[in-house]
Amino acid sequence: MQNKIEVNEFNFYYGSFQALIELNIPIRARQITALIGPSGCGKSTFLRCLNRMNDTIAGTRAEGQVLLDGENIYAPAVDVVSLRQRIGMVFQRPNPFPQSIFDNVAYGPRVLGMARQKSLDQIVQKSLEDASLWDEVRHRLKDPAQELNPGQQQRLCIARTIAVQPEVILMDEPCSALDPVATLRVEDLMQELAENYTIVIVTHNMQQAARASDWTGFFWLGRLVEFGATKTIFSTPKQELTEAYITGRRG
Amino acid sequence: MTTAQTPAPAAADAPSRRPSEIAIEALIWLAGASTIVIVALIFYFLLREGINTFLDIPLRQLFGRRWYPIEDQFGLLPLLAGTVIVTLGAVIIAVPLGVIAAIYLGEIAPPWLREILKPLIEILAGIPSIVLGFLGWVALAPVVQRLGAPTGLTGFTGSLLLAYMALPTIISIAEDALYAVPKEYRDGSLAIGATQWQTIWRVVLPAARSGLVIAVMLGIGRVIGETMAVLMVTGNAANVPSLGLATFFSPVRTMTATIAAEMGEVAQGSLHYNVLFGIGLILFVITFLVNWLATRLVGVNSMRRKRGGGL
Ligand SMILES: Nc1ncnc2c1ncn2[C@@H]1O[C@H](COP(=O)(O)OP(=O)(O)O)[C@@H](O)[C@H]1O
Ligand SMILES: [Mg+2]
Repeated sequence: MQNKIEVNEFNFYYGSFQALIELNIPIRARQITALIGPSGCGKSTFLRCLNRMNDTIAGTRAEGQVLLDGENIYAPAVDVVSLRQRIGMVFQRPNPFPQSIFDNVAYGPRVLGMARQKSLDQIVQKSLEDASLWDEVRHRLKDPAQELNPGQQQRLCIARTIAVQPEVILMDEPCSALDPVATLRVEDLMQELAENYTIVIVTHNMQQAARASDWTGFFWLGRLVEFGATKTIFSTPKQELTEAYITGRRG
Repeated sequence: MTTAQTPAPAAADAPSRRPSEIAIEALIWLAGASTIVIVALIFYFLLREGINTFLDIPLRQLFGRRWYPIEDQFGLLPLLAGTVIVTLGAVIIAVPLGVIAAIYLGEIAPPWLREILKPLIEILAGIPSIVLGFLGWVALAPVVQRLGAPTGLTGFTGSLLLAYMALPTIISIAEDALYAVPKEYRDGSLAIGATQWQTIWRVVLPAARSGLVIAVMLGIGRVIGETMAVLMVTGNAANVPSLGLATFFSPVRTMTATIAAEMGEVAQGSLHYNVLFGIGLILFVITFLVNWLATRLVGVNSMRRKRGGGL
């Protein structure tokens, strides 16, 4: 099994507050890794460390390694902007830009200079198809993205992310603002995307982690308590804490 | 500016309410109504005193190039030209500078620097215009003359000074507009691999458009209405400058400055007196148009936002 990302002895600080403590996590290529744990335990912080989005917050500091295909993304020579092209991110609340549906998906290819207009149309169509949104919006590409319902907006954000063909997609509770039907659609979409992309998803929904992921990591107060195949974690967890959390949430 | 809102009068079917509440509501209603009444009164007064301008003077003379009140020549063209030149110059200087400064403050400057700069800018906004006019006269005018203008007191000197006065307004309101853009938009753009500059240019600025328009319009409002500083540094010559670079580097005189300079010496009730009010009337209409334009520009955007809901 090949690791797309390897996290080694990783610590992260907001000022003097240590939010992540000695993390060691393997992220398998083209599989779905779910991160679970109570709120405030550092799941979002960890996810945002993987594409260095936390660099935008003043006073933060990272120690240790995050290897992407064997290269440390925290090495001084790394270009953060091109790193983020390789590791896309979908946020908790759908955040389409206040622009048209087309312009949202075309945004990445445009700023990265990936396409002339003809192939831009193709990229937009392909991305919307891959995000299983094309059929719903093909006749209204010029409409404001804000007119879509939240589930469609979130799939639009996924389309916007995959339009630049990243290698990894990070998702931070992507379904927490969606209703159950929209949630299932996004989960199905994740399964399809996992054929081509490495996916890391944060969720506070135990069923979602159990249903939709291959690997699960359980966070607690900034530490990784347990990591393993999703089946194992949910049937025979090794740590009592994991079991208590999983069953507590279930019951 | 000149808009005012009156709350609807108390609804008849409201549940029994305390007298104090009714009193407060009446007060609020009165405050709202009084702004409308005051604006209406100003307009009425201007109209009464100024309407003769447009009735007694042939339009051809009124929009002619000769402003010689002593000879009963009331051509407003020089004053209109002066106002347009000075205002336009100020806007050309102040708008890009102000928006860029706001971008620097809101998006790029480290927090500690912002903490220093923001209060400084607010202080700038509070300097009385007569003080700035004096500074412009003793410090700025000589510099402009050294640049090659025939005199230091030119429309350009006025534009510079007015731009300087409008900057604090534009910067602080534009900065508020940028601040109101949700962080989610910036995160979304950065996470795709856009640079910070691309994010500002292609996501943040368009999202802040309506606020930026307001900032610019309020800046223009400040510039059009300014009198004393302009009176001191523009050279006060009621002529129409020739077109070209010289347009900005000739002495001019604005409408506001004309009113201020001549109102003290004019005989009440004379035609000259009426014309000065007529100029006020024109200024009133211009301000009204700027406001109308601003609400149009902003309105389109906010309507779209309302329709969409979203973040
Ligand atoms: N920008 C920030 N500045 C300071 N502390 C933060 C910031 N963001 C999160 N934290 C803290 O880091 C810890 C982990 O937060 P987070 O990663 O958001 O948890 P989760 O996503 O698991 O709910 C929390 O204690 C939170 O208060
Ligand atoms: Mg979180």
